[in-house]
Amino acid sequence: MNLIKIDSTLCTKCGMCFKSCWNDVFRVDKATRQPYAAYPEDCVECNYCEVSCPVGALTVIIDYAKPMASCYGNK
Amino acid sequence: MNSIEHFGKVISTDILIVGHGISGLSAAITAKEKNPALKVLAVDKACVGFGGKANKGGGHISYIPEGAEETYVEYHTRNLGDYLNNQDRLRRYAHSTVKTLDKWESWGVSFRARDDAFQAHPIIPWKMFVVDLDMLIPMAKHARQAGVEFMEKVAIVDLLTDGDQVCGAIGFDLVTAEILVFKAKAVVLANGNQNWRVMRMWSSSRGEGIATAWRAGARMRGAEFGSFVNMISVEHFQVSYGSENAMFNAKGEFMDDRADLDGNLKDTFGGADLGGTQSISMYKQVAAGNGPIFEDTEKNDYPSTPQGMNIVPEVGRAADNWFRPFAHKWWHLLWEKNKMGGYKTSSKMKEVAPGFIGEFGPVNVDDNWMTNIKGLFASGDICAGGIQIFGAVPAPPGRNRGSGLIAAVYHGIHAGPAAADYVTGLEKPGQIDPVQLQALQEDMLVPLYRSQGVTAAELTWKIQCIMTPVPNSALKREDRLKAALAETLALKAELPKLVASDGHSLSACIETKAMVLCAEMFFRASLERKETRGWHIREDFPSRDDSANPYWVDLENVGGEMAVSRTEVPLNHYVYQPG
Ligand SMILES: Cc1cc2nc3c(=O)[nH]c(=O)nc-3n(C[C@H](O)[C@H](O)[C@H](O)COP(=O)(O)OP(=O)(O)OC[C@H]3O[C@@H](n4cnc5c(N)ncnc54)[C@H](O)[C@@H]3O)c2cc1C
Ligand code: SF4
Ligand code: SF4
Repeated sequence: MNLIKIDSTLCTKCGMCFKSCWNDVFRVDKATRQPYAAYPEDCVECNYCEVSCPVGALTVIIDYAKPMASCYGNK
Repeated sequence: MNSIEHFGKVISTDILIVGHGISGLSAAITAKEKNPALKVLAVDKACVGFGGKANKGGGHISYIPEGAEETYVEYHTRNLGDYLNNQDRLRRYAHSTVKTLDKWESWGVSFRARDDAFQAHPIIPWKMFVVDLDMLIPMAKHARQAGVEFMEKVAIVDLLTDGDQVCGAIGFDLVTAEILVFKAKAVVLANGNQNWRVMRMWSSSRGEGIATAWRAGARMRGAEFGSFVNMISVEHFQVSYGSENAMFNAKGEFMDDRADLDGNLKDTFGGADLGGTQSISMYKQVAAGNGPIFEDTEKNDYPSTPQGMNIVPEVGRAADNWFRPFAHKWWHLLWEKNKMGGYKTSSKMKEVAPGFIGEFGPVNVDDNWMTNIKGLFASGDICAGGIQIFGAVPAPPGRNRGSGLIAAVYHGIHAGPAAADYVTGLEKPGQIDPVQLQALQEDMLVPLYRSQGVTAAELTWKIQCIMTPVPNSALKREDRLKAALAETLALKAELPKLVASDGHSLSACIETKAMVLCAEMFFRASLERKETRGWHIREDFPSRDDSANPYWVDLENVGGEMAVSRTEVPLNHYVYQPG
């Protein structure tokens, strides 16, 4: 699974990561307004959140060992 | 009986646009332009300016220059559409690409090198240039200025109908799971096609719009053509652009493509840039013990082309007139990561494999983009197969790179005004039936009320394992199609066990149901077409059948069962015939 890391010392809680993720990976904590990756299993490593973060607080660490359905099949 | 307010928050609009990807935005802007007095509301699971596929891709744009329209229509019909395209519609499209570009540019998108567009194909008179990938942001801004209203993080699930007329939709908020009931005089489904969530950048199209239309009684056409396969890197899963021209088997032999295929297929396939046969060549090589397949990155010319320089970083920055600041920043970040973390060695030989995408968009519409349900329109990838402008190719128009975006805009600028005209002339809007609403609401929410069962992720993985293998989806044969259909129907029987715990996972359940439904459509339609035509390639029927008039394969929802039928293509009425 990919890891989505937010450096809370840099994060301004602007919400751009939540806005830019088209796979609905993020939620925003109601009390602290802090976005976090609630569904990292649905991340497709497009990096849109990372390029959209205005202060460089977010990093997507790609898991290159994720399973992929077989393209040749077994028949 | 309860009032409709009892079932959820009620939102009224004249036109409901489902999906604000590029086609939904185009439809919304032009519907509003056509009749500014109408309320146009566009809703999407994603946020405005970020949804869908337009901003995740190459940003290539192809168009047909003035004067070359008929050459294109003939070439496409004979070589790509394979006589299944509606030649009248293709001709109208061919005469509209320049106008479509002008309209699209007027919404503030950043075209690059339009004046420098190059000849993109040795035979087809397609010209190509590029657009920067943040294109949806200015389009959304323009839409807002025009008065279009938006809702974000909204999943639309089912349509509300009054007799044969649409009168609204039901859905929910992804974040809060609040139920939303939309009263609408017309609905435009612009929520993309089906790609079964296999390929990363294509993962927003999960076929729910197709399933939504189907459950309401919309007809499907051309469902056997959702078989788009690209080349991907085995190490980092992304498309390896251009590798199709630089592939070698494990013995080091250059894969002179198509050489191993039946001679008839060579005539069927013209020389467009990406054919349905590359993946089959790879599969055959591997089956013969010559795998795996490698791309010789030094022999791949694509990265140094003007459009490739915008995407593949090794060769540096594109020339000024081609340079796209956002595309450069975004693609380069990904490729840098893939280079550092994805590739296991620094060898120039990189393993590649067929990457199943699908591009399944069979919603059937008429010349006004309306389905067989009154007031229900479709626009973009969702109906790019079903409209039959392009014939025997997966949507968006199959093999011609750069035709997806412009086709999606073209759809939008016709579907939007058609919906506006429909609403303007509507004498008696339909009424929402609380009984129907209650039944649909219960069906939508039921996964939330189960305490145990299967998750959407488990079933999604299983359906991906059925769709992905080349021998199931790209190189078809009756026994394999029947086996794949049986596996799909076994999964269908598991759908009533789906469980969800919140809005996000409820949406995943609805998507999984759509994936299973679309797989069933694909295999049933594929079994019906007993010939090879375009991207529908049958190992057991390797040639095109010219003994009778060609036909379209239609699917209809008859009391919950999938009825398969054929409609003859009115070939005598068209200019081009086989031969
Ligand atoms: C990696 C990649 C590369 C590509 N490269 C090119 C290229 O170089 N040139 C080119 O011309 N084309 C290219 N394409 C194709 C092109 O991007 C598409 O044809 C086009 O964007 C389709 O637009 P659309 O609006 O019809 O659908 P989409 O872009 O799929 O938009 C559908 C929208 O509907 C929303 N939605 C889905 N279900 C629901 C629901 N139930 N409720 C509410 N909203 C929903 C989605 O969130 C999405 O925003 C590429 C595509 C990809 C993925
Ligand atoms: S985009 Fe960056 S700064 Fe803004 S909320 Fe997300 S992590 Fe924080
Ligand atoms: S990388 Fe893409 S899919 Fe993953 S969290 Fe970021 S925006 Fe979402």
